[in-house]
Amino acid sequence: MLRLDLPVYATFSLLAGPVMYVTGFRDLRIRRMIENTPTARIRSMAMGLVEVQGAVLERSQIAAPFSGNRCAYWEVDIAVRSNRRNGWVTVHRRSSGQPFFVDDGTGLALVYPEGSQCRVPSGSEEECQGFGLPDCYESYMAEQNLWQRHLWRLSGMRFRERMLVEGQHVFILGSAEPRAQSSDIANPEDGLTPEHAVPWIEPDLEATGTDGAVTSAPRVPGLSVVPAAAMLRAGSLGAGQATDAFAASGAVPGLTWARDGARVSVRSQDPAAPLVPLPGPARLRALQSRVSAVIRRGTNDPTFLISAESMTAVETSLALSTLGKLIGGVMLTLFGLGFWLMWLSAHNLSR
Amino acid sequence: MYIGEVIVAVLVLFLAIGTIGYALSIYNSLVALKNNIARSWANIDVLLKQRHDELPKLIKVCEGYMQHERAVFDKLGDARGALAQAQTVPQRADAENQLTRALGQFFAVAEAYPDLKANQSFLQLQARISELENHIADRREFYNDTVTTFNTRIQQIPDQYVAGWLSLSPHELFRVEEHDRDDVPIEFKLTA
Repeated sequence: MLRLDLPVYATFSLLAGPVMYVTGFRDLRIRRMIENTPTARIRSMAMGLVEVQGAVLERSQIAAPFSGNRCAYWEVDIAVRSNRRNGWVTVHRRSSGQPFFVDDGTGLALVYPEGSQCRVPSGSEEECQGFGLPDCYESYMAEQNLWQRHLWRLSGMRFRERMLVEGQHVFILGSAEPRAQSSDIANPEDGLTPEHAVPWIEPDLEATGTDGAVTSAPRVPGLSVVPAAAMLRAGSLGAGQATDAFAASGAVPGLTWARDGARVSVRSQDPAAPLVPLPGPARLRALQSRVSAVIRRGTNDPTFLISAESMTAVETSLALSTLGKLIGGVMLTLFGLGFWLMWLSAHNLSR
Repeated sequence: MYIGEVIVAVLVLFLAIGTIGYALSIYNSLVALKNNIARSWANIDVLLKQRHDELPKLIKVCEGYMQHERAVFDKLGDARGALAQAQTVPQRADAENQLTRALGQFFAVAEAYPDLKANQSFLQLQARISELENHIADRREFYNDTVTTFNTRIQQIPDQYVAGWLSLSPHELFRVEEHDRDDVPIEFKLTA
C-alpha cells in the first residue's frame, strides 16, 4: 500500500531540487566574488563593490530585543517545532536596521546592514514550551503584533538571538558609496530605546544642544534617558540623583548612573555588569567626521555580506554549501522524478 | 527500462548543465578579474590626477620662498611631465616613482625655509599631498593584489584551460625600482 507521505515528499523534492541546484550556483558566484575581490583599506577604497575587514563600532546604542544586551546589530528568529519533520520551522525573522561603523585602522566606514546576508555565529538560543513563555519573548511578540503567536504557542518554540557587539571583527562584502554630505538631525544620544522611558522625569529635563549643552529645545517624548545623560554631562544633574530618580520611578529598575568628567556611563539590570559609557555627541561627531564611505546593498550588484566569521571560514562554508546544494539538488530531483515515473508506470499497468 | 532511461537522461542533463555552468562561472570570473585590474589601475589614475592638480598650487605657494632652488622645481616639473606622457604600466610606475622622489626632495628642501613652513597654505598642501601619497600607495597595493589573484587563477587547473581559450596572459605588477630601495643618505650639519 502506498504511504501518503511519499507523494508529498516526492512532489516537494521535484520542486525543491532544481531550486536548490540553482542556489548552489548562486553560492558559487558569491564565493568567486569573495575570491576575486582583494581586501581594501577603508581610507583609500574606491567606490563600487568592496571587501573590507575591521572592528565594529556602535553608532547608536541599541539593545537586543530578547536579552536586552547592548549591541551594534542584532537579528532574531522564532521557530516552532514541526511534528512532521521533527525539526524547527522558522516563522519569524527580524534584524536591526541601525547603521554601525567599521574601523580597519586606516579609516572608518558607515555600514547600513539593511538587506544584508548576515552571518553571525555567536548568540543565544532558548527552547521553551509555548505556554509559560518568559516575559521577554512574550512582550517581543506582542510588540511586533505577531497575531499568529497564539497558534505558535500550541507547540514548542525556539528563540534565537545573534548580535554584533562593539569591537567584534567583521568581514564585509558590499557596495561602497560616497559619504552623504548631510547633517545628522537625529539626536545623537538616542542611546537607550523608548522602552527605557521614565515619564515622570520628563518635565524636569530638557533636550540637548551641541556637546551636551542643555538648551530649551522641545522635549522628545519617551526618551528621558537622553536628556538625563546630557544633564549629567553638563553637570546640572548628579549621578546619584539620576540613579535615585530612575530607581524611584520603578520603570527602569537597577539603572545606575556614573559620571567621570565628560564621560557618562550607565549600568542596567545586572548589578555585576560593568558600567558602559554612553556615546556623546562629541564622540559621534568625531567618528562621523572620519567616515570615508558608506557601505550598503548596491543597486547594480545586490551582493551584501556581513560576517563575523573569517574570510576563509566564509569561503569554506560557501564551497561546502555549493557542493551540497549541487549534489543535493540533483538527488532530490531524481528522487521526485523517479517516484512519479514509477507511480505513472504502475498506474498505466493496472489499467 | 523506460524509467531508468529517463532518470539517466535527467542525470546527464544535470551533469551537462553543471559542467557548462561551472565553465561559465570560471569564464565570467576571469572576465570580472580582468576588468577589476583595469578598474583598480584607473582608480590609481584618479588619485594621480588629483595629485597632479595639487602640484601647480604647491609650486605657486613655494616659488616666492624658494627662489634659489630652481633645480628642485625643475625636477618636479620634469617628473610631472613624464607622468602625463606615460602610457604603459612600467612607464607609469617609473614616472610615478620619479615624481614621488622629486616630491620627497622638495619637502626636504622646504624644511630649510622656516617662513615657508609657517605658511598655512603650504602646510595644507603638504598634508593633502601626503594623504594622497598614502592613498596612492594603498591603491597600488590593491592593484597588485588584484593582479596576483588574476595571475594565480589563470595558472590554476581548471581555470588555465579557460584562460588559454581566452588567450589571457599574466599582468605586470606595479614594482618599485632598485634605486627606490636604497637607503636615503641623511647628513647632519652641526652649527656653532
